[in-house]
Amino acid sequence: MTLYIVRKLAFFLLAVFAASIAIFLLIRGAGGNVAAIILGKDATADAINALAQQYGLDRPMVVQYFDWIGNIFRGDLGRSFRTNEAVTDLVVSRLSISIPLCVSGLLLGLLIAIPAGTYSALNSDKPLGALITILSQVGIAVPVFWAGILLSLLFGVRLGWLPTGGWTNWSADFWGAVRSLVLPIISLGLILGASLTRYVRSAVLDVMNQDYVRTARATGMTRMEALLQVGLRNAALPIATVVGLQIAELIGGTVIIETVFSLPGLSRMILANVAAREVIVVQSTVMLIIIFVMFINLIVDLLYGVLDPRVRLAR
Amino acid sequence: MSAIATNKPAKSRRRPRWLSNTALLLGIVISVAFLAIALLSAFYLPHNPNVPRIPDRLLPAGSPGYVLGTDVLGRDILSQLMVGARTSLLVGAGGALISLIIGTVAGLSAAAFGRIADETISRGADILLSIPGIVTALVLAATIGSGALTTVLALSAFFTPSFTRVIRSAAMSVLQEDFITAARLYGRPTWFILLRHILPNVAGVIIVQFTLFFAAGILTEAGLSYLGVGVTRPSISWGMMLNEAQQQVGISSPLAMWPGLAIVTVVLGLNLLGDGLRDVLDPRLSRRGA
Amino acid sequence: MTHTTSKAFRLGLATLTATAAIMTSLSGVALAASPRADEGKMILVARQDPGTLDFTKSNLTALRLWIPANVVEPLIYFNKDGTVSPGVAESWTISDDRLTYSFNIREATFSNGEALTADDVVYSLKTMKESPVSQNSSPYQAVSSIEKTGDRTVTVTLSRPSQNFWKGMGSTAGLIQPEAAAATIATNPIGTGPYKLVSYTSNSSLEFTANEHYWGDAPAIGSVSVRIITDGTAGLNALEAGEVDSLPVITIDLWEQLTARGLDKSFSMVTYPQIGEPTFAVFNQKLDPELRQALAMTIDRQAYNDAFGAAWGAENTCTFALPNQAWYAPESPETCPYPYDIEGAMSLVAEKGYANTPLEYVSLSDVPDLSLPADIMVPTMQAAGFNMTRNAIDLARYSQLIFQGRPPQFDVTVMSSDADPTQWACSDEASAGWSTYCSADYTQALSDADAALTDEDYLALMLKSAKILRDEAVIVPIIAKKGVGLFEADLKGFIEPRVAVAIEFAPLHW
Repeated sequence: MTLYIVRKLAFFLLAVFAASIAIFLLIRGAGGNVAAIILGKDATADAINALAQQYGLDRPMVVQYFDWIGNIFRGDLGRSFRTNEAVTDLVVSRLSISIPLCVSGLLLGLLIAIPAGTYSALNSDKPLGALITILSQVGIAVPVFWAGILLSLLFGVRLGWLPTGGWTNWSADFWGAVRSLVLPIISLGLILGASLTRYVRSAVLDVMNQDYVRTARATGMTRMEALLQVGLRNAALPIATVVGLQIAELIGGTVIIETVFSLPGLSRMILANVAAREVIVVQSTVMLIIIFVMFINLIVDLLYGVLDPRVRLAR
Repeated sequence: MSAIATNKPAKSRRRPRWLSNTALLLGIVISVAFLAIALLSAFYLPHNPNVPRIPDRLLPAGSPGYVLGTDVLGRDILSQLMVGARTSLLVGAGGALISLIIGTVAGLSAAAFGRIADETISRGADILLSIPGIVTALVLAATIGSGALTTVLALSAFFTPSFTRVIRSAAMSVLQEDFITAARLYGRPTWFILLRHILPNVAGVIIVQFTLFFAAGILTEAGLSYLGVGVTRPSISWGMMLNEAQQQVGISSPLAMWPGLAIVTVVLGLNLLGDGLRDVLDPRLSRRGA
Repeated sequence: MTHTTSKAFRLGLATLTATAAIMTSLSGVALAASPRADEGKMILVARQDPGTLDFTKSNLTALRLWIPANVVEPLIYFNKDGTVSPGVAESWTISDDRLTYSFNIREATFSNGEALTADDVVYSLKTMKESPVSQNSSPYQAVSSIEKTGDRTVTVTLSRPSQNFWKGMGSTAGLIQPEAAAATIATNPIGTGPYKLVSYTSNSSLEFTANEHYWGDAPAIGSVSVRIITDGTAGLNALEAGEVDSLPVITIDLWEQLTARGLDKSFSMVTYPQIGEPTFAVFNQKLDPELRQALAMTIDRQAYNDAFGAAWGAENTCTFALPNQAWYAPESPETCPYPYDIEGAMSLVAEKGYANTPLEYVSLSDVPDLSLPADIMVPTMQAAGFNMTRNAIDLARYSQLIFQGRPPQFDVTVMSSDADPTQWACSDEASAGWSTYCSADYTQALSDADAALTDEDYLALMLKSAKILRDEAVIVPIIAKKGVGLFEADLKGFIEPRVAVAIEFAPLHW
């Protein structure tokens, strides 16, 4: 067991290291220069070179890489060239939007998916079960930004109930901030709900076919009772895994919904900083996301190892 | 990209027969119509979709000569939708095809060439999957300029790791079958077993996954083009049309409706086709789900 | 069992419905008068995020709209009627030969509580003189020294008379900041203006409050929030919904939508030239002059104007200027050397065999009001027979390839920028601006104009320089766009920008 954990941890560190090289090469390969963007179209080449030198961007790539990674090890994620703000502060302030958006979107998705998926798995021959299957198929085909556009047309433009976009800080106007998040959360939740419904449905179907459920049913339990008493525990693990991975994916992947609703979330920050070639901000932010995703993967792996001895023997 | 979520296996055996049949039929009809329109656009278009005709700008649907009306520069919407179908076909299928080829090779190698190959390929896929897809797309667009080819590359980068995983697990389960053990005992080389025994047995999985990744590719391309880092003129894509409509006319315009409807219809059609094909072609999943 | 499941499902639905109901109840904001009116607040909308607030290093409009005049003041203000008002300089004297300018610095306090000193003024002017931004540094071309000549006096000596120097002292080049706060200028610029910056959250908002140390009368509205909404339609929606009070700068791509929605009726609309920009094509100067002229003949200015669907906001012109500049001229046979003539262009292409010259059109992919002209220009030039390919790239690559590329890495591109004619001047080819356009005649005409001692001479020389630029067919103007703003009907007092493009908060009141 200890060996298993040690091996997993070693791989985790190796993967983080490999990812850091990949992301460094990706963003540096993009060309362009933050100094040229700051100085604008009338800047001379000398002025740009001087500014780039001041930022340390003229040093050899290897030096810049180790400088950056060394700073990360010391807990310093670096600063924005343009505003001199610490990346840590930038990320924290953006997470105050991204986390509520992702978590609530996911919760709404689960709120739709768990009952809908379970129902349609147990009642696929009923009209409502079929309707759920059809709706989830359609929902999966809807691009999330189009859902956002349609919702903001209806509730923002036609009815005028909710803002169509923009953001006020939590501290400045709490309810204003909540209102700004409602439509993005609904858009995200509906689309996530549609695809999660399929996971839930198949997880429940899987469980219902297991021997222990059959045994339970043979004792006279109804399908629902069997599912709740012995099946749920077993269906929960795959669903929880999917949910964990979805959160990780969402934190960096809500850029489209943030764009539709002009929310200054984490992924739009990355978008803007790639455009501005704020290489340090992009590298460090993306590294944080990658580490987070890999960490969740690690936890899932370890949990599986603990729960299911066959897994760690197989590796 | 949450679009990828559509690719995880969902067992459809318990779906009522009539629904499955109708769904597969609908999927085939939509997919064939989509292919037909995309092909037709190479030979016939009502108008050149890029040439502006300013006096005819913003005509409503049903105007003489313009079935679905015109956009802000007087360009025909129907012609743009038709070319958009071709772009979706090329970009979606191109991205799916590249990841299919790389993913199949990598997935089969991981399954068959021992533990070191497996660990390297699987962990490599894990690392690639942990990089947020949007970053790859943005950086690619920034590096080689946005456009159809860039988008194909971005899609390949997103999909290859997932494709590799699916093929690997499918191949793994075939490898445990008795006839493979027999072939091994018979002294067949690994490459021979791969080509002769495993590939034909995972072909169904490959075809099904291709269809689903194709649909996901169309969704993802639309998202990238909507963000302005995907397809750019003179190419035309549905996502780009949505972006233009929203930026130039406002979302309340019918211009923002047509491309959205097109995306939903085609993606739905391809997903239905993929699910239907799984029932037919992927006995492994069907057997397990039965 | 079915019963239990549908119950669970219904519970889910009920929760959803309840959530929706709660959300609905949150929306009870009155639509009539702005709720900010009674609170002494206002919320304005910006379309772009400045990224940095360092006005010495950046000349992005997104920054110049808000910081100058409101937070950081110039030495003097040029008013619309031609008079000059005191700013940081309380008074000034100009020698008869126009070579020595003495500024008497006001007894005032910066918004951070530190006293304004003559040393701060010397520091600020010297910083601007060395600024990498040419709009900031070019007014100092004739300046030979900047010195503190008294406790509260700063004297600037010029080597030759310069119209640009004097004009610059009322623009961003004349902004005064405390030397001690220079380190934090990118996020917290300090000045003597009527407002101070409370916070700046990139991609979100800029918050201002009245500066209690301001030397003049306190502004009517004590708290100003500039909210950054990059999506134009979302900005208009926010205004219509009463969430914000003004969009003082509305870009051309939204004008048609604005009138179609009747917002010009339900809100007070202002148009003003200062913030306007010419949209112009740039041709590679290395191309054959006749080829450039043939390219220019494919530009149908009316079509570009019509394409935006808002003829009221832009004028067709062949002159690189805005209507508030005396040398401006609208499109006319006299002022357009190569008027639109597609047949003429086609026969020139055929006659000279231009179809064999591969041409590259480089366009900026992420700016809507530039991609629309490119969408017209490329197919039209192709239709005329030119062998044109389009390369769409993002701003970072455009900065590197086009703004910094030498020799020019494009044959045709389209740009929108401020109307400063000196951006095309150059002392030699190496110092040419981003267009790489360099003409000794044009530069000489501008420099003669700069040294002019009377306004009449100045105008005559500027007209001459404008004609040289037109005839060369390198910088080819298409339309001159006005600045357009919408204000809540009760929000009054807007004045046209005095310090470059800055929107002044202080005159606004409910």
